[in-house]
Amino acid sequence: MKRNLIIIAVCCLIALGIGFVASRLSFETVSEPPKTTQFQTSPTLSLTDHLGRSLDVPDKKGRIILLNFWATWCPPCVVEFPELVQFATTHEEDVVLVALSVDQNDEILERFLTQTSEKHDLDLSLPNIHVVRDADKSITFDVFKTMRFPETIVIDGEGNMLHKQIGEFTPESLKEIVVPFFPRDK
Amino acid sequence: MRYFILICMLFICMCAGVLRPVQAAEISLKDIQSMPILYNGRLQPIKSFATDYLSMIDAPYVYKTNATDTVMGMMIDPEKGLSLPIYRVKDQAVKTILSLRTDNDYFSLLDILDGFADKQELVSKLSEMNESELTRSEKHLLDVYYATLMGVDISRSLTLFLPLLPKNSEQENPELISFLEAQKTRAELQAELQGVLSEKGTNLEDFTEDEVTNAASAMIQDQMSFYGQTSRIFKVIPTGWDTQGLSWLSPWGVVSEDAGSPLSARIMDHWQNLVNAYFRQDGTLWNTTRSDLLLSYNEVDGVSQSRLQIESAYNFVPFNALISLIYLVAAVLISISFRFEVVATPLGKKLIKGVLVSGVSIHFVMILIRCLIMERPPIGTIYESIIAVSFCLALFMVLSDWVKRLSFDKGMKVAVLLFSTFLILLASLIGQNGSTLMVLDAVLNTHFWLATHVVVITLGYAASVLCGLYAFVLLGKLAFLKDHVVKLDQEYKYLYALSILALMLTTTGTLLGGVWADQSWGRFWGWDPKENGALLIVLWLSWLVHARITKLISNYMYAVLMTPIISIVALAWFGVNLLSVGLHSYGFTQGLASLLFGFILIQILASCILVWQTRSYIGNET
Repeated sequence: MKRNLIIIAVCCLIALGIGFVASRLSFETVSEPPKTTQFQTSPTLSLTDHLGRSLDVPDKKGRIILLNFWATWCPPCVVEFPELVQFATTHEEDVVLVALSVDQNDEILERFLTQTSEKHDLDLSLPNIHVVRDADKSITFDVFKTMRFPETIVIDGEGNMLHKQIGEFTPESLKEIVVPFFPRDK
Repeated sequence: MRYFILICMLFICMCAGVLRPVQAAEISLKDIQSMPILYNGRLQPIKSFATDYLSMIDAPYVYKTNATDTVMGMMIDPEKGLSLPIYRVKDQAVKTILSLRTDNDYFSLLDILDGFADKQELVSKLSEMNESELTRSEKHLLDVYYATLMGVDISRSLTLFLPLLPKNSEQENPELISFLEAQKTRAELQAELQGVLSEKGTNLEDFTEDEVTNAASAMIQDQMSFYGQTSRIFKVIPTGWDTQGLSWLSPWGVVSEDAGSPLSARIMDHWQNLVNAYFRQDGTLWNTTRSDLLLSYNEVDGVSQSRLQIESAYNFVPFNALISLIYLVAAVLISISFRFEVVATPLGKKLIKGVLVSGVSIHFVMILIRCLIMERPPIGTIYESIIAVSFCLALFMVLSDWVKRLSFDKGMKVAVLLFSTFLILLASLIGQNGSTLMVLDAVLNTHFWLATHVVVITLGYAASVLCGLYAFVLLGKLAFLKDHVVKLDQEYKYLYALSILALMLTTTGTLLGGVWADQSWGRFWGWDPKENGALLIVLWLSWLVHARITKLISNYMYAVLMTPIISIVALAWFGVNLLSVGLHSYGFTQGLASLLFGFILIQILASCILVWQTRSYIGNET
């Protein structure tokens, strides 16, 4: 009887041991799709803007980059563009606007920029505002697979892609989404 | 130990055949069977997804054995895929409703889609009804309908990579490009077309040949985009945009959700190249792209190539059939040794032992692999618990052989082996219509107490089943072997020891379950049917043990009353799942009810026959 009890006790201990080892295995709830905890890193891009100035993505000074994909033939982009420029003007020390246009025609783009800057009193020559033409879509499509416009990716100084805005930003959504990412507000 | 090493080596050799690097001299869709796909809530190899789908539609064996080829073939050549006779429709009434041939059971997607063309109203009406209100044929019709929808989704999965559109309309034989490749210039094409339309109107006769081609291309793109957007099942593209809950999407999902990213762009380009290589039959491009695609997947969080390879290998080995066969061979060899001395020689005994150990080892390897793939204890679903209990039974038997005093006799060994085989076949029956590697409900997938409870209760079920089997074998020997009375006392003691073990394990398991339930659901006991079932086993065993200790029942009656324990375990184990009520009703399996009641009936019948045969023991033994 005593021996049987010992055997039973040993069996229970083994069972508890197996249970313990089993519970040490990964027990993340897998009924949800796997989550990536880290942000995607943006590819390094060296670009030249419409004024001939060179710029880097991510920003070497650690500012937040708004990488905006747009075109002059896209009505929501036309509405969004001056709002993005105004936001970048207000937050010159924190934000760099890189507006990647997929327009085929330089003249149309230049005309749009001139008209819009006059109409909305925008200064497109500020050091943190860059309009880049990506006519062959080598960045817009080949690198980011952006197919609909407008679209904006928020990239921090370390190259982390913090947010993707599908559709246009409004002044309110810019304040709500982008401002919390500012380095000094973190 | 020697047997164990031998089995391990055999298994390694078997796996090495599966895991060897593919040196594709020619292009084969099988090459991509280990690529990851997010399906049923977890990342798994494409082969598992393909096998699961073909099992779900009950496709013919020849297609199931080449699952990756069949399903990837449906995607890469949808026209051919739509004509494959892979959908099984068994019900004659359903065949009549869908105007299908009644002398055939297998039909193509096209046949079934034709059948459903004017049945939309009926389908919507049925899908709104409660399942309990539906007849068997109506349920089958709905199953066929959903399988058809899934088939359509699958066949559209890669259409955005297929070369269907003219690249340059000015050439006589324009090179064909895919929807994805055409997207780069789609906006320009649409702008150009708008210009033509505003200048020339909508009369095609006024258009030049190039303009007609462009208009056709734009129209095809619009149609592809419209239909393709419904294709969501083939989630092979990680987007990296987790915050939007779009971590893995189908290629069309990436387009329609605007979920492009550098990561998804890279992987979509690789898939595009893979499809291009397939159509050009360019083996070099195929192999290079396949390697690049694997490298890109390796960079994605959560993708483990080794785990995907292991799962591919697991799918390749028919574990259930192999283990059942070995157990059956061992049972036959032991049965033969009753009569033939050749098998009872030391060499024969070693042979039987070797077969037994190899069976248990492969069984263990199977459970271990499932554990590695799922990253959790492999006792979470009803399928897994059956496999685990059958393993415990076989393991008890092999371990008992080490201690001569505890060793099971031949009759008991045969009974255990046959019962284990029965359980494995039952598991195969349950798992035949889909993957058995299932993600657990979140409620089950928790921590230490659950893991411990499930392991202990599984051991308890196994020990209880052993008690029942031992009682049956003991009564069988009393009934049919005249000279068996000699060892009777010893065997009664053994049965008693086994029942104590079963009682301890089931009691501990039930209490642990209560502790876990207290932590998870906030109550120790809720009179849930599963809890009641577990309590029933404990009560039955403790009543018997106490009755024996107080000499209320004789040793013989103790054995007789121990036989129903298998039925009680079966009811506690499957019964509540069949009721589909309570917190434990996961893994509900239709069609099991008749099997369960048949099983219980056979047991009652067998018990009655044995009691009748051994009725002389009633009352004349203490």
